Amino acid sequence: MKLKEIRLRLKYDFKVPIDVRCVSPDVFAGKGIDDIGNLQVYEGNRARILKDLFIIEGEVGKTPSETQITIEGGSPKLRWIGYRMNGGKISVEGDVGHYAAARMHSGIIEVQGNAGSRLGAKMEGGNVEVFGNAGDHAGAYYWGEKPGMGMKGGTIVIHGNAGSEIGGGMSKGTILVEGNVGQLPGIDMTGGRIDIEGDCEGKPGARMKGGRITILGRVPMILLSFYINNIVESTTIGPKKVRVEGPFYLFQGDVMANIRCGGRFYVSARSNPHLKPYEKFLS
Amino acid sequence: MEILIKNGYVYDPINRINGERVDIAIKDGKIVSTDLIDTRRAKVIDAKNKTVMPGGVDIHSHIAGPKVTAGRLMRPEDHYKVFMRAIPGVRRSGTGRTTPSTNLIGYKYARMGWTTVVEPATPPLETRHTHEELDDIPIIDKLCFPLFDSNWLLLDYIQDKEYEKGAALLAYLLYAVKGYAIKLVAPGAAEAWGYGKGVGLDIDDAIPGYDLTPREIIRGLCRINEMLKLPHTIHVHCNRLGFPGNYETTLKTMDAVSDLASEDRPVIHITHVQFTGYTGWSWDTLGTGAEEIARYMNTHRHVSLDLGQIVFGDATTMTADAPLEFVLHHLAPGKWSGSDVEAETAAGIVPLRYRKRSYANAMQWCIGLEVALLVQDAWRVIPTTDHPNAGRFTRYPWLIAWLMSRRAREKVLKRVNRRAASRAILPTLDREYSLYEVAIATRAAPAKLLGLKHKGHLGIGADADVVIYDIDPKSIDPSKDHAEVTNAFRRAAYTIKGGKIVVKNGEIVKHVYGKTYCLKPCVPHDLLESVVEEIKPKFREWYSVSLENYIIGEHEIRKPEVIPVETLLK
Ligand SMILES: [Zn+2]
Repeated sequence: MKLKEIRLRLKYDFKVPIDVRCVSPDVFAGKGIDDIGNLQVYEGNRARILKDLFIIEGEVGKTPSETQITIEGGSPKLRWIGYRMNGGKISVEGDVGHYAAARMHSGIIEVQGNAGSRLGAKMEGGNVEVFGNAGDHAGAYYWGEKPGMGMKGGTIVIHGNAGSEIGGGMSKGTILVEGNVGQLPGIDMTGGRIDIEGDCEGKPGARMKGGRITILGRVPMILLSFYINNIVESTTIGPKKVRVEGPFYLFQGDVMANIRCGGRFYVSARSNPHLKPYEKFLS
Repeated sequence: MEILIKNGYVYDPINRINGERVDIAIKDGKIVSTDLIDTRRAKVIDAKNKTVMPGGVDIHSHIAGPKVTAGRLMRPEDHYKVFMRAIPGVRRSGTGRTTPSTNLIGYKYARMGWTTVVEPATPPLETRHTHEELDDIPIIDKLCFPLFDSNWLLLDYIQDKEYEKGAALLAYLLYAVKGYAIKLVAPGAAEAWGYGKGVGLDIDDAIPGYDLTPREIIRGLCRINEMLKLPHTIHVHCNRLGFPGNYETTLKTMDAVSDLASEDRPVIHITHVQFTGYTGWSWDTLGTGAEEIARYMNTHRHVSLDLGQIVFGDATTMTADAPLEFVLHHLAPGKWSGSDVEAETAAGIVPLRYRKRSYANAMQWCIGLEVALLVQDAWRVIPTTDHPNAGRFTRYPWLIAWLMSRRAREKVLKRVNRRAASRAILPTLDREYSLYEVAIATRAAPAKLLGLKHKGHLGIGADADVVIYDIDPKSIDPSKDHAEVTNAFRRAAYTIKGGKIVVKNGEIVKHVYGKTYCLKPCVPHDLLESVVEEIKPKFREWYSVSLENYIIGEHEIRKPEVIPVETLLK
């Protein structure tokens, strides 16, 4: 299906955060350019309309799934892009700020630059792809929520690095990070998978009750509440389940969160020679 | 500003006005006789077909203090769901549902027509914080009750039976922290908790480190309260609160002070009685102790109660009963925080969610209402939700509807756990509160129990805290139209606080600040000096602050209203 494209070009360099949660195919679909230009956005604490901030060109489809929104330039000040988006495509030729793709249901979001924190927070479906780096809490819950209230479906692919606590509280879905990640990936997770091709700063899977984490790079140490279960020869990563050769240490935990240790995580044995002492527990 | 409220149906139980059409005149923040008003200049409010009541008085609602702030910090998820936008020049912004921010507390109370609220548990050492927060709450008048049940200085005197000195010390501490009444939370439990004990400490169990039992603490403080003639009674959160089978402890607590009652006024206030009215031996066999408690209440006049009624949904339990919070944390895994306050008390916080489908929660919901309906005297049963422990205060309109309408109760009963509904006695109760009884229970009675002479009524000289609700008692039958009653109580047509209109049609129109009431009991100089000399070395040893810094100055409070109290001390 051919997507109808609407292009938003930044009029000036944004200095304060801008709440553009209306920039989403479901809101745009079926509207004329004038109506779209009059949608309300907040620049800092001031109510503005979309055409004050963007030059808007092109056309939109009748339904969200026929609509593509392209943002030329992008800015780390643009927050809540694609909030609750349901179908269609958003493509950003630059950076986005916090909460991009939050609570997204379906559709595609592509970011050529970097993304801010809470990328795909609480998302339930769809695909998010970031070619730069992403901030903290990608695919996580909002502040203070219970385990399992994070990402519930869909995929997030980050080609660069990601920050701390990615996939916090996630219960389903896939996160693939091709670069390195910060501390505590998969904290409070109850399901789904997080695959990290680079290094992790530490404490992976804290309080996890389910799901799986794979780390191909180096991990400084494994939390003491994880048990080693096995050494496996290979495993799969990413939404396409690409097979990678190991060997991998398979750990189970976190016993502090659940005595059944439903969470599993795979750590490359070759990148982590300092974990060799664990092997003696397997005999 | 002068205001004249005309043609309204007035409910003012203290002055025995039951739905009659009386005009209310307001001048300089007080109720005055109507002929003192210049009718040409006065603002006239036509309250035709509307109900006029005194401003509500909440006798127990945790709205300020270190534990409330800790609760806010612990629950960011409670805050981004609810917010109120600022309107420049009219109101400020705020967030939060079970632990609202200070401005929101004031606004939400005012919108419902409540104008006086008690913060019922503040550790004396941290009461400076409580006052800072109370100062920041707009519109309502405030009081706070410091905790004295595990205070080492005081326990020493009670243990030695030196009640006179204990009374002098208590008077000193009460004025030092600008408190209003004596609060006891599971007496002795916080002290025992310091030894890792105290879970389910009963009234006659020994308290480690002291030659005392909770019974002696309750009796000692009750005696001290009567010696000081404080306007409110001791405010007691019973031992074994939250444990199945605890109604016996509650009855024992009530009976422990029956011989200390001299006049025809209560000497003990049992707070959130719902949490202490359980029969059974486990959460699964939980039953109702409401009948026994009501029978005691109906035959004895020295006890008053408030409900602590469960409201289904989110709650944040916060109490100085630290061992209980530890138990709750294991019942409801998730967040928990506990803390210890030097030589005074302890505290804990656990977020909870009360569910209709849960047997225990449904039973709890029934027990609260059963007590309210079985106790005949509305002057001694105050409907509260122990905000935010059993539910948030913004649910009072629903609580009032449940009291006023059997139909409203049945609507909820249809959707709660079936086993609980069949075991409770609530479905058999057909008593329904009248508007007059609601005015007693939510306004007149709490004001009277607190000894606030200018609150809870509309007689001449009373503070001009007046609410107008959009209820026409001639055409509305609360029993049938409970939804309309709920809506009217959710958004008052007018709330007038201290002679100023603060709410109009359910929206805040003015941001003002209320007073903070505190007591100054008069203690003979020599007695006070000797007691202060005695505690000085202990204080230096036990506390992290000096006695001079412990005392909160009147200048530190935005609008202090110090009430001198004549005591029996000689
Ligand atoms: Zn309470």
